[in-house]
Amino acid sequence: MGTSELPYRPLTFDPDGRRHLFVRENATQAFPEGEQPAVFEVWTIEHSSLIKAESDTCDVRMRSAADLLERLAYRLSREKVGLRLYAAGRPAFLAQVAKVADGAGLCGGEIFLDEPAGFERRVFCVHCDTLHDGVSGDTLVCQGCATELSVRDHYSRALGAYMGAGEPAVVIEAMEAATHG
Amino acid sequence: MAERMGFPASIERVESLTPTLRRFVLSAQKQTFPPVSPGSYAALEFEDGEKVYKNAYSIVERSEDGRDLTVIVRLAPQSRGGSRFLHEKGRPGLPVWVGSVANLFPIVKTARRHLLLSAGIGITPFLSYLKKLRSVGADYTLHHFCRAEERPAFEALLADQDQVRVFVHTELPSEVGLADWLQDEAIATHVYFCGPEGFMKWVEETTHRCGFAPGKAHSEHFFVPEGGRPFEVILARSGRRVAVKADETLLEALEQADVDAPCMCRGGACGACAVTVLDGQADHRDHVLTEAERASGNVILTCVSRAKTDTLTLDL
Ligand code: FES
Repeated sequence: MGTSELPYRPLTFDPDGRRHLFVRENATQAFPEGEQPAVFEVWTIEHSSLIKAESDTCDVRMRSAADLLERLAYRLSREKVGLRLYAAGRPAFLAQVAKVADGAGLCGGEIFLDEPAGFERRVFCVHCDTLHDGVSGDTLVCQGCATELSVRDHYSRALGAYMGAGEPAVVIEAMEAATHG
Repeated sequence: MAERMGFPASIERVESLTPTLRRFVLSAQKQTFPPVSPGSYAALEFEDGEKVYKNAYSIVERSEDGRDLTVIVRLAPQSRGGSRFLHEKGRPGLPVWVGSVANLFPIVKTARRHLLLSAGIGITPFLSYLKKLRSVGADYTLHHFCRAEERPAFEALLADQDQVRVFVHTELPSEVGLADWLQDEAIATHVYFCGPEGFMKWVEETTHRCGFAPGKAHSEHFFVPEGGRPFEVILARSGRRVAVKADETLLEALEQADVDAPCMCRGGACGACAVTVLDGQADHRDHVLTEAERASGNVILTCVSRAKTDTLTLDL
């Protein structure tokens, strides 16, 4: 809902949770800190064609982020009170998990996002609405309107993207370039 | 002098629901009452010629035309002044000043399902909730707990409601299996509770045990401040001393002495009456201050809290 910075924090198990689900983008991401609860599930993305369906439901491997997110949405839609969801991965993955959790009606205190693994972000150009994936720096040139965007801290959960905005002068120049060029 | 905030009104109708519960319909004398969101309370002021009473009550209903507000007042054994006066002398025509109206217990708009739990008089905020939740087609359930002899009165109060969504119990919450129902709720459910202290404590512990995150458990601690040991406050800025009697609150004593003390809910729920303590030890009875604030010992909510020491020095 609305825009804000996503609340990232190193993961720690919440002792008040009754069940715990940790989703991660990569098997190298460590489990949350703290005392490991008795009931605890891990979902990991494994980009390998060799994965077979796991019988052990506490350690599940998924083929892709899309697969994981779809199963997460389904799972949350029938989940009962008391679940705590933890996520680790790159910003884009965390953003998608946060969006699915929001959609399922989870609130702060039920979902925890690890500090992002990489610096790639998804950026939304506020001038022409173009979305850019995998932006690693703080600035970029918009592919839609050629504005030189600087990436703001403002994050839209609905778009799953950070806002990129140009300085007014740059916008004017870009607009002029677009009309005259 | 600045114009007084609020609305002049008078009692229009009084109805006795049980020996201890009375419904009062207040009607505005001049303009209409502003729209009121479910869960709001109104600070009411009325007098018996000698004493001015100020109490906050949940608004059960505001009439469509905005002319009437309905509140239900409980006569508790420890009722001091206000509620007792309304029960005994609150007749049609009695002038009532409706001061601030505020909401500390709103319906969470983003919730998918609302589970309402009340006991005794704690049902009052939910009477306004039910109307709203039903009108917007929300998913909700109310479980109300009361004594066996009060059952017919509460059933009558809820007679117009969607009967598959409201339940009145005369057993204890633990006996009907409320804990099992709570842990069976979907993850998107928000729980709201209001009632006497023992009930609140039980529900608080149970929701916590079931894993409700703090953001999903909402409560209104509705209580009439109780008296206690008399003590004295020293107002540091003027050096004045004000005595607080056993049957009055610190806030009332300050008001009686014409000290301009802040306040709003008058029930230990909003935090508006916080005053800095410079010396002495407070006996905290509110539900607002955090553990850390209590431990720091330098703030007190004057509407409900008292002193453990014989004197208390305040930054007033
Ligand atoms: S007036 Fe609200 S807590 Fe004291």
